[in-house]
Amino acid sequence: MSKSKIIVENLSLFYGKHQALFDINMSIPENKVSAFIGPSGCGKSSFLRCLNRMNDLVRNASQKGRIILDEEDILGKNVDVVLLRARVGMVFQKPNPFPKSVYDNIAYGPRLHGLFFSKKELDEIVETSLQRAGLFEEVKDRLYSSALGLSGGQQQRLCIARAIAVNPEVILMDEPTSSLDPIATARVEELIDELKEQYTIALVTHNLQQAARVSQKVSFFHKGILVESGRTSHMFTNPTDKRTQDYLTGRL
Amino acid sequence: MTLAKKNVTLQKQLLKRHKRDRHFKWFGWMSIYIVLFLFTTLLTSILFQSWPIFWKQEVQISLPTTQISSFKVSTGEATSLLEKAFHYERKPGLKAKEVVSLNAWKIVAEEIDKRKRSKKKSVGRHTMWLPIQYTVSQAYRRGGESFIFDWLKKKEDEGRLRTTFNWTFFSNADSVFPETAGIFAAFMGTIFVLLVAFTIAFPIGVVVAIYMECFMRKDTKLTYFINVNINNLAAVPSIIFGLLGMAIFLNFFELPRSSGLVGGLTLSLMMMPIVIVSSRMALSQVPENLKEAALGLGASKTQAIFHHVVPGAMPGIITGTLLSLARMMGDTAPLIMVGMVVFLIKAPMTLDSPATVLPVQIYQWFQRPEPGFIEASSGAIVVLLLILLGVNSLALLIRRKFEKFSV
Repeated sequence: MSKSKIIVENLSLFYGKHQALFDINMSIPENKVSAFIGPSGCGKSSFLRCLNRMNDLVRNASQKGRIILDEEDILGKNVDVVLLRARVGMVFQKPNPFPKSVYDNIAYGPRLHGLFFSKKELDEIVETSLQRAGLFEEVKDRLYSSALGLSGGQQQRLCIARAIAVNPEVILMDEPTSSLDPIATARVEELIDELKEQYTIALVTHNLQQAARVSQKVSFFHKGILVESGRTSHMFTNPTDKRTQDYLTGRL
Repeated sequence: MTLAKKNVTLQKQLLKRHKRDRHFKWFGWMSIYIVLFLFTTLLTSILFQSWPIFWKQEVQISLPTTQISSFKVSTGEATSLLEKAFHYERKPGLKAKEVVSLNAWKIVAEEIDKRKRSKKKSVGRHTMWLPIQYTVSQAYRRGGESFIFDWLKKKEDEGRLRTTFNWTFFSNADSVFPETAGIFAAFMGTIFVLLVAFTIAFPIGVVVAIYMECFMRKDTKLTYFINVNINNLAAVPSIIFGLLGMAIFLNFFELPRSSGLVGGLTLSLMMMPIVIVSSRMALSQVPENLKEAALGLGASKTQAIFHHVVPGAMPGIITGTLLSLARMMGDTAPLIMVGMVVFLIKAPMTLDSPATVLPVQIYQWFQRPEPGFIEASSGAIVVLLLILLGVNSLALLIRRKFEKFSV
């Protein structure tokens, strides 16, 4: 495996008194796709949301342990969450474009952070982001019409383009294809595969085939515990843990 | 249970269920018809009652030639000019004050002033239309025997008696005579009061709503306490707000009594809780995932809320505010408490001058014993209802228009 982008050490997550994650240790390799799988309520989404501190929004949520992104503990007290989220972008389960134009959706992040010096530069950022998301050809004629007019798959790729526009280092994806039809899903999977050249991707999915298709590393969660983690090719053929075997064969 | 028996039971049950459906449908339709019936009865009765006030009879009178004095025309001068004009009609016993409005001298004086301004030296045999007294006009229409009616009949045959739409009902202020009374003063008062109430209640109410809905912790006792109180305030009878306004704005701050300013301030107290409640509702209906999307891109909480949640809730906030404005427009009791029951022959032009509002004007007119004011009152009700209809449809329109953009 290549160099690790994120190293998680002894991470525990609590919602009030309820403990959602138990002592997670794992590493997320750079420029690879890491998939998190497991049955519903196993904590894989909660884990993903720890990686850019989205759990800060939940009242009573508290974390223990360390998450090291490029040698810096992002759970530390003096970490600026805004800066962190500019470095670690996120794509959500349901496509959630802003009720604005396609252009304004992409430009929102760069505008927030002041990542451009001229209108021309912003235009370029919007165009490259859309191109990288493979959406530019489809929307170039309606950049200034509402993003809500796009199809579900297009909307999700728009959300990916929006995340790319801030030029993050890591992109977190929380079941990005769960509300899409098979064709749109295939398109997004292709995109994920292309994106890993430049970004480190962490992906939560319900779909085992998807994990097998796009990821290089798979981690299996069960009841808040990281059961097993390893190369995708290895995990799907030779799972060592009984629970992983059961899940992969559909008995869990 | 055998299959046959089961089918029979099912059949019986089904009959009962269908019957119940029919009964409910019938009951629903009945309720709708009853509401519609009551509503149309109300509207038609008001429309019928107000009909005479919207149409007034005017008679054309020739003013005698006279020299225009260099001073402002006095009441006496204008009145004597009017009486002279009636004298020329050569009808013994016919007096101006028994036929045309007792305010007609004002119209004559205005006309003379107008001529003076255009530098004319004399009035010449100038003709002008003057409104007939309400009671005379009504009696003439009903028909009867009187030398005044004979004269009016003659005028009508000459084409010098006309019935026109009563525009002065909209342009005049109050008057002791129904034929010259109008709602303009009350209308201006309503505008002033709503303007003041809106400028104060809208910004404060919306900011409170945003803070409470988006920033404040929702699970504390304090929030609960504030919440219950705001909801309670929104339901407090309006007369109590009137008492509050009187105690604070009149007695403590000693602001001018009866003014639009005090009325507006009092209504703003009433409007604020309504704006807060409806704005909070609108804010809570903006989907959470918009906020999450913005946060995921690195927006701060305040940015996420002001860039996405507040704009998303704006249509709802505006609709709620318009509806509360409509409610304020119809409110009477608190304004009576702060003394906005005044007789105005001129519309208020500043915030601190005495003013009255449409519903209070309606109330005032309804109390007058002179004939014609019940009709004037109904006319004002029609106007008020039309304005309310306008505001409410605007609110509905805004909601419709922005519904398409919601996620």
